[in-house]
Amino acid sequence: MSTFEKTAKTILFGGCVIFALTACGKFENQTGEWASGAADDSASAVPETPRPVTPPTSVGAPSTPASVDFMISRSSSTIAHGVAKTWNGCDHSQVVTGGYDSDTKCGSGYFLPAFADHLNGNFMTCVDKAAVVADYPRPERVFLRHLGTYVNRNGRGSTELSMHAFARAIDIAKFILYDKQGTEIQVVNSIAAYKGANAKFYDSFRECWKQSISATCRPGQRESNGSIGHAKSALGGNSLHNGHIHLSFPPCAG
Amino acid sequence: MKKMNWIFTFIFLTTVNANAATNDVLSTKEFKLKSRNVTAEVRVRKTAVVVGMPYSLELRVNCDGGRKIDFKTLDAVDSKNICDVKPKSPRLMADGESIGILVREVDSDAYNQQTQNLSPDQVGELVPTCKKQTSEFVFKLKEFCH
Repeated sequence: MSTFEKTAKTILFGGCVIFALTACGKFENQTGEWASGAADDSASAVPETPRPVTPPTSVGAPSTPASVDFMISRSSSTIAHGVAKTWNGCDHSQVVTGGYDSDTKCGSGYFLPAFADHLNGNFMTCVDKAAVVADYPRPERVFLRHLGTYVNRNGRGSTELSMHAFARAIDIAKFILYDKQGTEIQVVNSIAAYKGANAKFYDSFRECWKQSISATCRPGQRESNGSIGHAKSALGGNSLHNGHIHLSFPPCAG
Repeated sequence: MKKMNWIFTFIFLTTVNANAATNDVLSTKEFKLKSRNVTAEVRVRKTAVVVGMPYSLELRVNCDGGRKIDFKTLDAVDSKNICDVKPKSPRLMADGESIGILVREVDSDAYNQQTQNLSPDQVGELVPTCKKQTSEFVFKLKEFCH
């Protein structure tokens, strides 16, 4: 074997080793990068875990009779596009408590004063009607697993401000209902849970809310239904709302 | 000539809109279930419709796995908004009936605390952060196609 052949073989072998190592590295990194571009932290990777199931909670269990549906601050605060009042989602003297993406942890939310008044006048009426239609026990208290209230941003893919930017909207992922005895019923607002009693509650609640703002809202006006849900539902919707109800108090409502 | 310009403008705008609707898809991955004649697709999208959860995972199921189907024509049967995701990570799990996806959940505890401590105008500008730990979100397919 000539020196040339030896060198060529060495280069070929080396190339193969490098290729194999590279391919191996690629295999290990098959899961790719984070969509956000965030750094990886493989040390904290957790193997197969089932879809999180939240254990029963006593957050909404009745203690003393509640006097008001949403506990709203008396004073208003200036926000980027108007004013808002604070809903203390942790105050257990009210009927409706809630928190961001949690079945148990509470937080505050912010509503335009007119929206806050409308919530106090209509929200629990609609929850109660929906519970009757779905044949659920009459709810005494509700915990809302929500996905945001006031957020200063545009609508998706739009140059127009979102209803959230005016504190005119709340995204509701789940209603957790508690009856007089403290029995809990979870109403999940997802397309996957849209069946049976859950679907009846979902449709009935949205229809009731729509009726509550219908005196001044007309079809064709922005968010004139007062809510957006998923496409399978009675009032319709789109795939962006497969996991929550976007409940709003549009400008046509006041 | 003016009419032609309008037609071209219409065609151009229609194309742009169609692209805007489909361009939010970061990845799609198809699976064939081991025990049943069912195929499924997981689609990862950047929807940015929920604060703190800019990505969404969508599950589509074809109950007649023997027939090739364009998953775009099917509605999602399940979905999840998420803080962060590895778009290439969806995999069929050992049971052959579940699909796992590597995700980072939103740090809702921190956000809930912040809403109680900050002023409303500050909260309006706040974006919830993702937890550092990676977890595997699971779509269970057992309940579909029976």
